[in-house]
Amino acid sequence: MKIVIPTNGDSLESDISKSFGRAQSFIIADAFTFKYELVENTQNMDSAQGAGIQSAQTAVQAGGDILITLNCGPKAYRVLTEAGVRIYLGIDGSAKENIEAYNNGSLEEMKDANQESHWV
Amino acid sequence: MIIAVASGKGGTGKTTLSVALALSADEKVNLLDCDVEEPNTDIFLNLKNKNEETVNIAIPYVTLDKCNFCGKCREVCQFNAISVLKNKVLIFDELCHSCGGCMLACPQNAISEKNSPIGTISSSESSNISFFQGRLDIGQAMSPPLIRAVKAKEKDDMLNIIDCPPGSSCPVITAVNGADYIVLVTEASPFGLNDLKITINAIREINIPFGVIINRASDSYKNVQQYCENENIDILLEIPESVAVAKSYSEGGSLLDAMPQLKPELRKILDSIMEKSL
Repeated sequence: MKIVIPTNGDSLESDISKSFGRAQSFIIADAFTFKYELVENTQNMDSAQGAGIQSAQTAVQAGGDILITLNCGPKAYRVLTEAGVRIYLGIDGSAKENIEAYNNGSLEEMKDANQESHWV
Repeated sequence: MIIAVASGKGGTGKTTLSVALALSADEKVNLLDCDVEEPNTDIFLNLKNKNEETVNIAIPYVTLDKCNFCGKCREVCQFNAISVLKNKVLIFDELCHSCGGCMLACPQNAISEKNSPIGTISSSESSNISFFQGRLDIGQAMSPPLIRAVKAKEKDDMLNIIDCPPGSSCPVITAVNGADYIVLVTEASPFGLNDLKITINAIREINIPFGVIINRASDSYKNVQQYCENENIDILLEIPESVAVAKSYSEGGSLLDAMPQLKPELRKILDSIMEKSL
């Protein structure tokens, strides 16, 4: 089970990012072994529009089964759900704390986007 | 001849002046309302017998039977409007700029175009004005394609007056594109002056001659005049602040109803613009 977490850091100790589409990178971690890799998201940090869509594409291509995020807009939500990725509302804290919270069953699955569509 | 009426700040009197200029001309005028996000020129014209046409933009359509989900369309899209999944392609219409790049990039010829409506153009006519007005559909984010469609109604053999959107970004640049002259309407206020300067900086880049009309001019704020003097910019007209004009406006009347004495002055402005542009 692969978990995707947006972050502005580079390790499991790094905090989850407030932004999904414009996070610096994604931690792709195994929910049980905590082994992880880091996928850069810099190209989307600078894009004028559609950062959420392409970040969602990155999460899907990285093989993510679960996304834990603090925020998700409607376009990213559409890509993720069409691809079968399940989205959980994260907690303020590190990527590791979020994975543990998911394993404990204390994270709630998001049934809709929690952010409005944003323009440039 | 194309004269664009623009401003910078909104609410300075673009529509008021566009209508007044059109009514001051000796000849028949082709008046185009390109402020498609909030068109209101029609209110001051009282024209009947409107015709309406739909304006579409081209949005990519993927034939999934032909698609091999290689993702080349997504990579080429500079607007991040495409997502390619294992067995699906998602197109986000509202981000698409209709550039056609995805169609060219597709090695499978799986992408064609479909029409997607973005707004309407209504038209009407009287003995002295032919009028076209663009109206962007609610929820549409991009006005330039519709503005271009309205501007396609410009007529070579007529005096065209373009009522532009406010601001200084793409919609305004699209609306003034190809104009022989730009009339900038500002109000005598720090806000009006600030936004006027921004728009003038944009217009100087595209090298279209322009002059300024100061609306609601008052003796207590002369900074616009000073700025124009320092920058060597023509002040075409100053219209004093007037309750009568506001009252006429609120009843759908034209500037000329409240200040008929402006008609010869506006006529002179049109004449001098046309002379300069020949």
